[in-house]
Amino acid sequence: MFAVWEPMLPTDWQRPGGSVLGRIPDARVHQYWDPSHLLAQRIAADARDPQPKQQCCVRAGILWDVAAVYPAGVQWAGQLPPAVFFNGPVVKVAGDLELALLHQQ
Amino acid sequence: MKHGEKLAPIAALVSALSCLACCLPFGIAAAVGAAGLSIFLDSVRPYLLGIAGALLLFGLWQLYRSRGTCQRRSRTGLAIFWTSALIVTSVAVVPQVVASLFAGSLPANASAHAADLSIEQFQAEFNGAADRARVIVLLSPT
Repeated sequence: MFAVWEPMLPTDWQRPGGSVLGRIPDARVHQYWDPSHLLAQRIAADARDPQPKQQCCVRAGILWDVAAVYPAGVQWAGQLPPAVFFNGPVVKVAGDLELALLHQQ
Repeated sequence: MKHGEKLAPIAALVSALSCLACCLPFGIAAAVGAAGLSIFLDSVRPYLLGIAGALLLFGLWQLYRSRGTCQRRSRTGLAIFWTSALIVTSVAVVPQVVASLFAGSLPANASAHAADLSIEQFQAEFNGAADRARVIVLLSPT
């Protein structure tokens, strides 16, 4: 799993510290700081069918508070592959995200 | 009991609270409340912090410029004001630390570090984990 933190709110003026990163204590999670929204822009640019359309999660043209699930086997070559699950806000789609992951196993 | 007898204690209470509101500005407490709420309500945080700041300014004005019916500035009022100002400033400047305190825990992973994202490195890690499903979440620190 990849957790990518990006500055979206006026209070996001510093990179995430230990207390923020500690919210995801699982060591298998790779955590990144993306102050320039590089990944959000790439995900938005590469979005295409059959990836589901998200129902929220855009602020000032930047994707955030969204979760995406990519199936095993697909590779990111020229473009990110379409996600099989793509929605947010994360706290509200946790159940659906879990189901999507179960379907991938 | 007549209505007047019922209402008299209530009127006394309102009167006492009104006096207290003058000498011990409740706007300051509201400022702390607004700032505290902003920790939990991401979407309206800027507005709540704005309200908190405005209430603090009002409290400052009450304490130092407007005497109203209070003859002198109370030490309690001053202490509450400056404590509240400290709390509101902390919530605005270091919300992550305050949120941790609210949660009743110290930073759980103080040594953790988020790597600066480069697309090439991320792409390599994404493809390196292709033997299983992968999840990407985009999040805001506060």
